[in-house]
Amino acid sequence: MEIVSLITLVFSPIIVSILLFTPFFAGKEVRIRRFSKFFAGLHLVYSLLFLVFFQNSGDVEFYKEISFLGFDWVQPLGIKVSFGMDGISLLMVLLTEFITLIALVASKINIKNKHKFYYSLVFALQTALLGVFCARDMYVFFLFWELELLVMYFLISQWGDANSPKSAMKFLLYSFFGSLFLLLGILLLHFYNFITYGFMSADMGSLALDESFPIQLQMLISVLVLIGFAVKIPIIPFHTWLPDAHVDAVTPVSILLAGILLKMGTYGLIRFNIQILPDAFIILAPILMLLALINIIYSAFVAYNQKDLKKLVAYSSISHMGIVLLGLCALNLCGLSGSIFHMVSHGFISAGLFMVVGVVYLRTKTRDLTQLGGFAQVMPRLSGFAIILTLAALGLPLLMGFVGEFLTFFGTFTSKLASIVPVQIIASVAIFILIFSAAYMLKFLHKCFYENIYERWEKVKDITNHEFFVLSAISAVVVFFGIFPISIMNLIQPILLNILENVRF
Amino acid sequence: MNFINDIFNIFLPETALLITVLLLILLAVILPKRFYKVAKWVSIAGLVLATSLCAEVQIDPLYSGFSDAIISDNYTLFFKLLILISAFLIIFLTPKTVRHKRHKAFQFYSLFLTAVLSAVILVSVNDFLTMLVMLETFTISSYFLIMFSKGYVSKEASFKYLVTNAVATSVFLFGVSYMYGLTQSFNFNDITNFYSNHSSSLLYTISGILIVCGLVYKLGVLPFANWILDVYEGAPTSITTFLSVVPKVAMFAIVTRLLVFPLSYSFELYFTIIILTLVSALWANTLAIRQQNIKRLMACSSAANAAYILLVASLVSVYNLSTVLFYILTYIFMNVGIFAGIIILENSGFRFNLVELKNLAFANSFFTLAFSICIFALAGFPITSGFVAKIYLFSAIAHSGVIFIPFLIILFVAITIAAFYYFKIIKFLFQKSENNLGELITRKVSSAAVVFYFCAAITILLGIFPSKIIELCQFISYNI
Repeated sequence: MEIVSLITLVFSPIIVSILLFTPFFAGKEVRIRRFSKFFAGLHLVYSLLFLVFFQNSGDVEFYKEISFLGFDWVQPLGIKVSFGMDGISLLMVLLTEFITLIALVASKINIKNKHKFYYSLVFALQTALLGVFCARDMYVFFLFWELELLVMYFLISQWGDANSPKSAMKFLLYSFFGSLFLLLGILLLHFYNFITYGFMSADMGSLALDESFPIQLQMLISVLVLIGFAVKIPIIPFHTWLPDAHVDAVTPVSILLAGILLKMGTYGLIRFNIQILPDAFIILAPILMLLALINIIYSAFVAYNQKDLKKLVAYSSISHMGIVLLGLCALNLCGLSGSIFHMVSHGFISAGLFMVVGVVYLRTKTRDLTQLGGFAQVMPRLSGFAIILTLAALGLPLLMGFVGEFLTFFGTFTSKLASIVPVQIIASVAIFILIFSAAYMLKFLHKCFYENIYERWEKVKDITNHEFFVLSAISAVVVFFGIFPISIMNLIQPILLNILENVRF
Repeated sequence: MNFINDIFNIFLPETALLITVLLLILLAVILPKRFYKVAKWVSIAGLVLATSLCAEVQIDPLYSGFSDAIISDNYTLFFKLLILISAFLIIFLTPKTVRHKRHKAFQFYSLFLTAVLSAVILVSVNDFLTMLVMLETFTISSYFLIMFSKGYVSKEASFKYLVTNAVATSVFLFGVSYMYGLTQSFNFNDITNFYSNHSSSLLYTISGILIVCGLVYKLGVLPFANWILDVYEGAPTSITTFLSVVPKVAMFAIVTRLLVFPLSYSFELYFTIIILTLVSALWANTLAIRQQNIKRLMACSSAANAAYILLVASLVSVYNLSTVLFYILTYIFMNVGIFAGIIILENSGFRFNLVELKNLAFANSFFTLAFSICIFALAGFPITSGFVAKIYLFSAIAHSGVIFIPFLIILFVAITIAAFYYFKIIKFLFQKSENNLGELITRKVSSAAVVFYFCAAITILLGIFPSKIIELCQFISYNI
């Protein structure tokens, strides 16, 4: 029994979520809440141990398999429950741990009923997310992918506005439909890998396809799994669930949704489309680049015209995921590392922005931008954090948002795809569209915190200690990694070099 | 003496069931009304005896008896066991049904066992005429079983079943008569041999389509599926459970055998079945969206599930067959689990309307947990057996070739619609309201509760430890 084991990391939250139903916690809401935060903090510390023992060799580390009574999980199909970690996984795991802790702290103010159910669901969600980020087997990846769906359905529908069951159903059906395509892609990959190379395996590491794997089939599989991820990222025609889910979910759930869940899509894209099927991705990348550009432009315009604060932040999320996608399509070290950095930075920034919106909503019961104004007078501390986060979101240098955007656009500008698509033009257009992102972000800041204050908001109280903790933690991270981005870059560089070795132009 | 030999080699379970049926009829005359509970225990004893006698059945090598009308191998034994086990589970759901009509308890159980007996024989038939006899025995017993509850709805359901069955059976017979005209035989082996030496004709395809259409009505697959909603609603809930499991298992056994052997010489036939199943899956799932009655909803769900299974079964290969076996096995437990839950609710005053399910999660969370496990399994979510079964079933279609992907995408649409109505149930379960149905559920251990929690537990366990069972299914299908 090793102390630093991925199995403990992945499965301890779900065990805690079952423990919450024991008589020890019966009817004791404060105890449940405090224990949850304590455990999440402990788990964060535990996950930092992985950072300490991580050797960053560019390969899978901490590899672990689980056997079920002497069998693999589905032995006749060669499916094993196996976990492993590389730089990208580790980064995502740390993001998950951090955001979950943040969301749990933010829950005290927002969750008023069904405590036990809520906290156990959050821990189940944590297991699902860690499972997705650490899975080394395609089917295990898919298992946790669907588990996350199930848990998220309850999290959105049970706590939230009156309309939330409907939004949760929409989220579920969109994602479920996408995940069926993902499953089909996985099955085809599994089966044709067996036919071509003669061994039954669903292990992501051993699926190294070479020229003997027909390119048409690679294309087909690549498109199928891409549909699954496109719903999650979301890429534009598949995005309509996201604003609804964000608007109707309660603030901590929004934080989880924007902070981690959207990153599952891009993470899957890196794992499947770029790492396993690079040849097909080179063909798909130009189209995806255009889709990413549409993502950036369209949602920037839509965000600018939103009256609803949460919708504004939700559409800005879509726009930022477009930037992430653009960086992935560049297929060079600069673009890939930039987009992974932007995944992390967007995770923190959007979580922070949702927190700000949540704080405002909790006090005013409205998210209508025309009804708000002048909160800097009554909530100076909140407005300070809001300024940091908005500036980070629009990409001010020395804050976290800048690094990702800069690297992404630099990567796109120098991409080797220049012979197929005019990457320079795409990068330039995307850069100029960022003016709009500045426009809607500053509009949000201006309308909400400056201008004249309405009389009815004059008695509004500033943020509590819990909210202060959440926002200051996020802001500290945003500032720190804005100044020292190199620490994240070092973590992901070896694995990215490893991935890019297989990308043959 | 051949006859006696055959009985001792392969027919002991069936004989045990037959003797139990006769014993029940005899006891009905002898025992007074107040001993009605004896009927249940006699039937359980008969089922246990039959199940244990399955160990004595000769299966390897394949044994064919009764002038080649009945065969016995791994495949038939697997299905026989499935039917006996599901009948064993369902019999524990019946007491409430019988309590209203104590004077007919013995008739009820003897008819129940007759239906089980015919389903068990149906699995192993090797001959169209024996098949017809067994089909009719099954349906005639089910008319009475469906009619067993009070009120005209039950009678109406029974009559609907009768009429549809009459039409479907005549279509089936029409197909069989063509087949006889073409090959001069009713025997599956003879037909298979005939067509391995002759090329198939258009008439063969037509007769095959008629036979399959006449058979699949019991599965709720189009074209004769209109009975399924009303009959599932009208029948006593225990009998609805019975109808959603036992005839299905038997039908899959026989339809798959037909598609693998005598009807395997026509591509058009397979194509027709694929279209039929896809249309039925879409039909059943869209029909389910607007249902407010949970029994009608489950009828649609079971029709849709049958369509998925039949779709895979019609892409004939040994691998696909193993996925079908595994899916049926997991489906039995999920489905019996859900219906057992419905019966528990019915006993505490549930009138099958979905709205009544409101607030259940907060009033009785343990019940809701088990109930939602079964629903998640039907929708194919982890970590239930439904998830593994879904992966395994789709893998069959993916393995059949890239050309089947368009069909699969239609299936995806159907399955997404299905997820919608399964989560509609979940939505109601977790909705706050003044409803107090959950508190009415008795904490007393009833036989239905045992079956319910047992099925939920098996559903989870099969999701975590599926390896051994999948190996068994593969062993059976590779040795057919």
